[in-house]
Amino acid sequence: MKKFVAYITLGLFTIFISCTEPYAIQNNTFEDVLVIEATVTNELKKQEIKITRTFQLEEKDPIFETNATVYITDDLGNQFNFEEEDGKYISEFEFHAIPSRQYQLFVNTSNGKEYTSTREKLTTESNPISIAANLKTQFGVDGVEITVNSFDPTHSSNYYRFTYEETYKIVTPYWTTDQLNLYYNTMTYNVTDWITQKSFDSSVCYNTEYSKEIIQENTSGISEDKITNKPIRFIPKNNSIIAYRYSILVKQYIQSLEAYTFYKKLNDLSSTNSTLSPVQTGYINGNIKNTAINSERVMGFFEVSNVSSKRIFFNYNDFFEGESEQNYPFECPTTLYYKFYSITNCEPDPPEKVTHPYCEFGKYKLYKDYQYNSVIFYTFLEGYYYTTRPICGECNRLWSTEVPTFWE
Amino acid sequence: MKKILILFFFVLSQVVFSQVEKPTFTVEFKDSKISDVIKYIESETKYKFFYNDEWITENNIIISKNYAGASLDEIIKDTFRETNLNFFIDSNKIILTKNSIIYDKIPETITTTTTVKTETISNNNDPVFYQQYQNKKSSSIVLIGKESKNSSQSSYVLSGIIKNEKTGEPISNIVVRTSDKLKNAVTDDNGKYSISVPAGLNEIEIVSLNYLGEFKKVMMYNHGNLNFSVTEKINQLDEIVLTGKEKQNINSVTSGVTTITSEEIKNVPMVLGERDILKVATIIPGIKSVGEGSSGFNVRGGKEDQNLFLLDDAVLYNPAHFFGFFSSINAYTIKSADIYKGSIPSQFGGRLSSVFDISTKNGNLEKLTGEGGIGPVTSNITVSTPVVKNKSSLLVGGRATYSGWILRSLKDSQLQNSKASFYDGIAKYNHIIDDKNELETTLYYSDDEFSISSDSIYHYNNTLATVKWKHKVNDKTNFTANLSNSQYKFDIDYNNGLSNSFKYGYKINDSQLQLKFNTNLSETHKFNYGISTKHYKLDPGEIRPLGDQSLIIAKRVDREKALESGIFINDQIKVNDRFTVNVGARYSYFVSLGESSQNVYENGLPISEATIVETKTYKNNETIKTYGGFEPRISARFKLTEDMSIKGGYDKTYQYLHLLSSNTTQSPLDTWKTSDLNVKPQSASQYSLGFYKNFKDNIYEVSVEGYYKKLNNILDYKVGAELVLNTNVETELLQGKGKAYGVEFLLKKQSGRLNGWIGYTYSRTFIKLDGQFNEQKVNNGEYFAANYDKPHDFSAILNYRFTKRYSFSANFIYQTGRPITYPVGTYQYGNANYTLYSDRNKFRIPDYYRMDIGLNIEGNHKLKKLAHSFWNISIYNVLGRNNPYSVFFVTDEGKIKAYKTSIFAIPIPTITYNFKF
Repeated sequence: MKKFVAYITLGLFTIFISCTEPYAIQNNTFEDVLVIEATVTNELKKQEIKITRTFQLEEKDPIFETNATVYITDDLGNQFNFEEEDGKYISEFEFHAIPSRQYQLFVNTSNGKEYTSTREKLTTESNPISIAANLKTQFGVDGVEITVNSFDPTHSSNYYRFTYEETYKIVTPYWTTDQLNLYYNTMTYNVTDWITQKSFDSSVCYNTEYSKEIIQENTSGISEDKITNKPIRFIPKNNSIIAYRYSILVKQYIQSLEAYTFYKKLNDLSSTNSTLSPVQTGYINGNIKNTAINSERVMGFFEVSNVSSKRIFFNYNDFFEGESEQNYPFECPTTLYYKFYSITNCEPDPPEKVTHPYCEFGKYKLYKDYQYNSVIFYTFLEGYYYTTRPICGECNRLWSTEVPTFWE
Repeated sequence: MKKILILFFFVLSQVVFSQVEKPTFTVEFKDSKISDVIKYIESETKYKFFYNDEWITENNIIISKNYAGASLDEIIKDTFRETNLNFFIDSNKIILTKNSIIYDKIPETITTTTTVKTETISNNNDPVFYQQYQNKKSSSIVLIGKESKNSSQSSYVLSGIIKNEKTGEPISNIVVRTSDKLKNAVTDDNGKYSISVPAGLNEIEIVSLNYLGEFKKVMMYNHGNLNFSVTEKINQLDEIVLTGKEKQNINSVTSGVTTITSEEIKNVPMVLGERDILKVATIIPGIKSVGEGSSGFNVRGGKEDQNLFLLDDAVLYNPAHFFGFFSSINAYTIKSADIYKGSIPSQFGGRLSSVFDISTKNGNLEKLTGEGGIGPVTSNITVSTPVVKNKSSLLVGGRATYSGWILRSLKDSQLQNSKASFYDGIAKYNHIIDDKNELETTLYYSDDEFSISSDSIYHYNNTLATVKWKHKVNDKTNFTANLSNSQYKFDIDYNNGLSNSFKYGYKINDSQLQLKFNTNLSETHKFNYGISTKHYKLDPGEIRPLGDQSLIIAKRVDREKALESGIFINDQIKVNDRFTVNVGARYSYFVSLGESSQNVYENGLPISEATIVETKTYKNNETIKTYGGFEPRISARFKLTEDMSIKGGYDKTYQYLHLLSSNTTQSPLDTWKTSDLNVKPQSASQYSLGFYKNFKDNIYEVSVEGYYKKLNNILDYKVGAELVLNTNVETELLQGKGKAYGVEFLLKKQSGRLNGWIGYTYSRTFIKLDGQFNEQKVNNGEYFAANYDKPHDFSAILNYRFTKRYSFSANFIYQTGRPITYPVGTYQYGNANYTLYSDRNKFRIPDYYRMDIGLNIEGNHKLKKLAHSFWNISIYNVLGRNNPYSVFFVTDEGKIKAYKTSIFAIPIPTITYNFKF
């Protein structure tokens, strides 16, 4: 009897404990929805609008909506047309939003649907912001924290969203100007090698990344419309982006209440930091609608926002002594190949098992690895070719060597 | 007896015979008994008494009187005046009769000759000749009252107490009726009944599904008392019926009320062999549970928080153990549960949708009794004992799991670290002070502790205490004062040794005083009125870091205080035998009290952290906001025929306390919130209409009930709402309209080898969240299905009795899967990927269905046994259906993952041993 009881109870509690199992998300629920990301600012520039479509849950990249007619009108009858370019819609001419004028976005998609936004006004004038970088320890980790300060004496801004662009210098760890060339003679099985000089400099690169998170602040409930030392970004000491020189451009967008709320919901829904309970999920209403079908869901917000921005630079040594422990974003293992193995046919026909060291560690192997672009040569020493991962030898394989115009 | 004989003596005795037949007596009786008087008369005269000795001993009166030259007639009259005996003098015989008068004249109505009447006998009160019924089947006739020659009443009131013969406990809800079914009465909580029956011979029946029926012929000579002792039906296991009141569905005035007594649920197959009143409730059409493993109920389109659970009149905040697998109420200690899903009586207030009025048993006033059950995971025992015999008693019930040691003894380390245990205890003391005053007090505690993962421990408990004073003001009015305190709290210890370890806690406490009166003014008007007031103290949440590594910042949301009061009256008006109407009203008043700080939001803008204008602070007990509501409650019944009736009702309800619960939550972390400056009370109006028909001598019961409900200020959540530890939780809330409607069919077979019921409900519930601003709109501001909208709901419970000892039962439940908000795609915005969700509740999780079977085996029926016992073997979810309890989504590194929780995905066999002594 006892055994029986124990059996039942065991069965029972196994179920109690492992009662949660992954559940296949049904694909047939996929909803194709137009996504419009449009923030027009008071900056005189070619304004940008991003129009994409939703994609399947297991995919990573959006589908750009092509061949759409996109324009913005103002209440004076001006029309600003946008042209498709690199998966974005960019205004034909530079323009900027002007206070107290009302703007409206029109998107006519190639499938004949028309979408319009509500009429939006430029938000209140933005005051200059200041940003600062300071040493900070967060969750036991040393690093640099970027904070922002802002003040609106008229207390009319209230709703803020911040974005940043960070640009940093990258130094190639295994940069040489020597370039190894290899030629494989299929008759003699011999690999010939010779070194030439690279015609470009890929020792230093620059990369720019854009903020992904939604950073917002609201001052409506406090007596002063003042933002003091609001954290924008925290970079741990061992993050390679600050290994040399780093620059951050912080943009402050003054938002309307609706825009603020939209972004806040977006953020709330995506945050997973709540251990206690899940958030209420659902569809976030934006301000863009299908003119014919009111119930069609359109994701996105057309925002006319006042922007102010500020850029700062700093070096690693402004905050820390010595060199960064992590000065490159990739691991850079080196592989050695021996030059002076005698000739062996490493590709017999029919293929046999070839175990000759020449084939496994010699020039022939280097030739093959070169073919697959899995290594890059950087030096020759005592009969060995020293190689590393290509990205560790030439930073321009991933980043640009061009010095940004604002770099100082 | 000897003592009495010694006391009896003649001081002086002289008998004077005057003339021939009229002797006079001079005698002094002092502390004499009737028998002494008889002896005296027999010894002094030639008169002989004819009587039954029992009658004399029954009439144990003391006679002390002086007679000087009194006639025999005079002495005899005096002697028997205070008794139920009549006498008739016939030559030298004195015939004593119990109750009946021997008429020396034939009454007018049964004779054709005109006789000069010496007695005034009204036409409608023909003398009742007891012998005229003697040829009928019953062997004995109970004589009630003493017939008086000049009585003119056509009916008398028969009253008494019905007790359980074995335990001596009074039994409520037992039908006492005349066998022609014209007069009915039901015993009250104290087992008392009172029935007005015609003068003369009546056949009185006791009808109950759990107790053997009684049949008595009663000769009504006057108002009188008749007590019954009934025995439990040994074969009661085959009876699974929701109501002990036959024809109650036809006769009661309110629609949508069901009474479940604990005896009646014994053989519904149950998971883990637990008897459970609330589980049975969910099989009633119109009452749905969110799913197994959920403590919530949805009654007629109401939210989980709109049900008032009362245990001896105190609010029970969490009536569930272990996520609702077990109810936290020990069925053995429960007398009955009245469940109102409509036509809520005006004495109840504070919740919109339903009342589960659960009352505990009183202890046995005469002897020690007990009852218990041994199951694989839990065991329970209930013991009842008199404290002062026939005056006061104590009932103590306890229940606990002993799964802990089993888990600990397992080899699997994950299981070893898991915990799942609960216990509850109840103690009830009742004291009959005198026939007018009675005191009852109940103490209750339930405690749950469990962990699903090894790093978190959940703990919650209910504490409840009540004191009730019942006072009989006069024959027509009863008064009840009830003072209670109830508390619910939970805490979570989350300790993974890392920086996010924390301890989180929540608590709600209320104290209530209720004064109730019942006045049965007349047959036509029965009043019920009173006042109640309740004080809330609520700690909405507190988090503290746990362990040295924790970087959690301690946070506490300010305490909420409030006072909720109500005044109510109800009049049950019996217009005629066919038509009865209940007119009731309640006025509720709510005061939100300081100390508190409340945000003021910009007028005309949606409430959000972005629109706070100022923060007002209130001093301790300062009024923050008041709300009030008039709640009319009307219901009526019209009997079309003896076994068919139509009922309608309208009721309005207000609710000032709201449960905040995220719809996919897995833990009992739902917290109550009082109405305040920014959260308005919810309200509902329900219209209901029902037809009730019984067939074949009430063996079959059919009913169709429909309802339409309008809800206002129903609480829902904005997209992205986070409720836990939110100091400005109102910014996450939306209040909107709701509507619900449904039709409920029920077919019951009350008796026979095969019995049970089949119910089907079609119902819909919609919510509309609309506003001027996008953030106030959900699903474009249109009506959408509520989280608990499950259109089709079918349930059946069937029992089949093979023999007296073996019976088989099965139940089947089908429900449409509940709505869910589904991720329907991904999109890129601001360089990051986000999940697109469908419209709120656009999709549904798979349907729910489950079948359970059970076998009940009675112990043998020997009367002289230590304990009466039975075995219950049941298999829960015999089809092994993998019913989803919830489907939820977690965003992890920009990727959405879906999880499904299901509980009891395989058949669960259980065996339980129940005993009673």
